[in-house]
Amino acid sequence: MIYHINLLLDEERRTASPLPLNALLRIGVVLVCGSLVVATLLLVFARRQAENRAALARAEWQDLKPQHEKLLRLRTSMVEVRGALRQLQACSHARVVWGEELDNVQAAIPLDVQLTELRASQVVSGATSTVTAVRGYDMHLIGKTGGEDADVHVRRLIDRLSTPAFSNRLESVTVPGGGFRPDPSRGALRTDRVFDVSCRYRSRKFE
Amino acid sequence: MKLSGHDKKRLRWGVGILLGGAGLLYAYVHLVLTPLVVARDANRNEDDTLRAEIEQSRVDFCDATTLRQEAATVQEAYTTDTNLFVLRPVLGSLLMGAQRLLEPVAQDCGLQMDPCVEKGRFEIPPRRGDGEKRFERYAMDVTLQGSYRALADFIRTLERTNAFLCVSDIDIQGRPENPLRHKATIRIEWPVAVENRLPTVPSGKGGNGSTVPADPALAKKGTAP
Repeated sequence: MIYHINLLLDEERRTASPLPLNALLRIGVVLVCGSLVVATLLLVFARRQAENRAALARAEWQDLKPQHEKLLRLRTSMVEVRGALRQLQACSHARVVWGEELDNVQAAIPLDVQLTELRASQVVSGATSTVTAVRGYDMHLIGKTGGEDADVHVRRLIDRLSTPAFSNRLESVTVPGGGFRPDPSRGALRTDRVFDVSCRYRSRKFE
Repeated sequence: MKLSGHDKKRLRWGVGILLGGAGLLYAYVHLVLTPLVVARDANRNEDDTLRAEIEQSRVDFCDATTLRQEAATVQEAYTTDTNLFVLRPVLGSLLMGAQRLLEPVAQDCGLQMDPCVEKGRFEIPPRRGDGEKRFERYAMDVTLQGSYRALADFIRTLERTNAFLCVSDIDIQGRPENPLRHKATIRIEWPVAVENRLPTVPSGKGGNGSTVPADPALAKKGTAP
């Protein structure tokens, strides 16, 4: 029987690896420390650079800021003034020019029709946060006519109010129920008639 | 595998060193590197923000001339419109301001005019983007007597000389005793400045808070309500 006796102490044992563990550890520690130092230096440099750039930008902005604020104030005030102007203009967009309209109505009345009353009134509606308000008008023409062809005369008036001279402004022209009837006034002839023609104007937006 | 006493000792040392190294590394990253990164990023962000603002301001400066011209045009239109067309009170009375402008027009048109009757203030329906309300509609009734033609002339003159005035109601009644002379009640709406929010007009005649009609020459002729 052959006995192998190991006379080496533990601390005297050597590894067969070309890079012993101790050396590997030392290299690792050096590498980690080196990386940390490099990263730290890079970060310090990057921070300095960012600081300098920010300082430059700050200085530049300090120069520009007062003028820019002035410009912004000008823009804001212009927007406000424009808004106020639009408020004013809304009034004009939503109106019917009655001076001309009265002339047009007069020209449309047939010779054998006598107008006794003209009433027009506005209707403002639809003002919500999302819908622009509109202004419409209702006009009533009340008058007299006579003869066997009284209805023809009123029809002629309606036809004239339906011509292109009016149709771009008028939405409807109607004689309401009971709007064409015998003249109740004293001394009126059997064939005399009174009428009421209702006209509705197209709505115009306050814009 | 059974480790010898020496191996155990070495392993303990190794583990201790590894843990200590990791702790040191963590502490270094946390206490030294992270603040550096945070500071760098903060500076970069500030720089980016400022650069963006500078860039925007440069773009704005490029348009400054156009903006100034536009602002001047808008301001001029506003000044003109408010001076000419917004009803201004006479000694605090809008009614008197209106009557003072209407009477000469009625007289020129050959109409007999009764004193006006105030009907109140109504808001101009708001639209989005209009901002603060600066104007309202001031309504008043005016009663006139005269021919149909004269009434039409009266309204036409008012509407031509004031683009923002609105005739909201008309009631013309024929009179059997005199078919050529009618009685008419007309409701007129004028734009007026909202109280305590008079438009700021930096220059031009009839400025802020004026209590006389903006254009006395026109008012004198009776053609400029």
